[in-house]
Amino acid sequence: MATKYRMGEEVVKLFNQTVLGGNITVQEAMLVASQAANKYIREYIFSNKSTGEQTVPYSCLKEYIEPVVTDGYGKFYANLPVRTLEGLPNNGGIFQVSPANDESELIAPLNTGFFGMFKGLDSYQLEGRIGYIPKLDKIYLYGVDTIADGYSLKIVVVPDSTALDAADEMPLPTDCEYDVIAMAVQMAQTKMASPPNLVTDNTPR
Amino acid sequence: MFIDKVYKAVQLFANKSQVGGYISPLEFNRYAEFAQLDWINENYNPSTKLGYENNYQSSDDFSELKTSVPITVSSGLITKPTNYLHYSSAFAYTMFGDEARPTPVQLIRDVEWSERLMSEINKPTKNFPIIRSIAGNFEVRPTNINQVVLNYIRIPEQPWWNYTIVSGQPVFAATGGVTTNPNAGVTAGNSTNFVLGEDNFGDLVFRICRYFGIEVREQELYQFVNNEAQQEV
Repeated sequence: MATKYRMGEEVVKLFNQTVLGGNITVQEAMLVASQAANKYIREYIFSNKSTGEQTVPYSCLKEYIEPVVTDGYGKFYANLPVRTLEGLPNNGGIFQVSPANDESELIAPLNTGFFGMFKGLDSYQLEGRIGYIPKLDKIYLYGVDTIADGYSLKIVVVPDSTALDAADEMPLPTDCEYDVIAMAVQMAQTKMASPPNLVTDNTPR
Repeated sequence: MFIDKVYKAVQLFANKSQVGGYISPLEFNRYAEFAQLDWINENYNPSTKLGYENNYQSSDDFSELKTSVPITVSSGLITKPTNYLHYSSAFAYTMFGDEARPTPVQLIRDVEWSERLMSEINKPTKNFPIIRSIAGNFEVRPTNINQVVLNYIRIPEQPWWNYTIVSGQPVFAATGGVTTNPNAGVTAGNSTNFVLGEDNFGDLVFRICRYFGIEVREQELYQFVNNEAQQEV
């Protein structure tokens, strides 16, 4: 798999070879490559569903261990280490949440409106299991009154590539890199086709 | 020694054009320094993409002037070395994953500085640091970079044609000359060569002659340099 830096660098190199006077930074190239990757992964997952493939390709997943803390009002939460592909239905960008020490005890994903819909019904109790509701950059746990010290969650996500570090592997099947690079180059074409911005002394920026 | 070759050529042109016929070693040494700095400033011009390091020859010409030093970042500043003349490039070692790698440090102009600090796309980070030149220092962002390796063009030693007096005439002396070489760390009686290589012979002669007000036509210079080259063969 390619690091985010490698994909950005490839975009830069492709442009430097083909566009005279063009100028794009590695950071800009990484951003367009990441945005292209996000779009590609989302469509890849959807297109797989049409063939009956219900799971997410393993190369699109990243897992993180995050400690659970209290918000001081009786709720427990863990921070989401990165943003996820939030456009996937049913908060599918968060693929799986479990206690860090027992991956088989999956924590049930709940919809944001779960409490409004189910309060007073038997299903509200989740049959004794723990559930979670994601809110912005946190995962709130429900069905827990106390937690042991050091209790952590293993959070498996389809990450937002723009939020990854330059040295992180892109969550992308290797055979899809070509398509993503092609999308990124197309996306950055407008900037590269423009005349260089000559600020003060003919040095293009 | 190269400097003696240049000296003789300049004397030759001085006699030819009859502007006085003789140039004193003191004058020559002064204008040799000017000529060398003049050459450096004229050829160091990355903005036009026609100057510094635009080809192998340029890189080669500047090679003796290039210096690389690691400088500790203190409060977001690195101090320019005392012999700093022009910027070449800079890099810093940062962690890329679990590996320390050199990452380029980009020189930014004032007009871009605040824009880069504000930017959400090109924000300076440890992997993408930036610097700008201010009085006596370079300002570094982010400030948690520990050390920057600065590659720069140094101020060259002053070329010095030293001599002894033989039959009332100054004769070149690589060592044991009668004048005091002004360069630090050099024995007083020694000569100091140009830092620039011999391929800049014609250029240096031309520039020194120009300072003396000697008119040298390109054709004359071309013929002279050609003759010199043939003599060497």
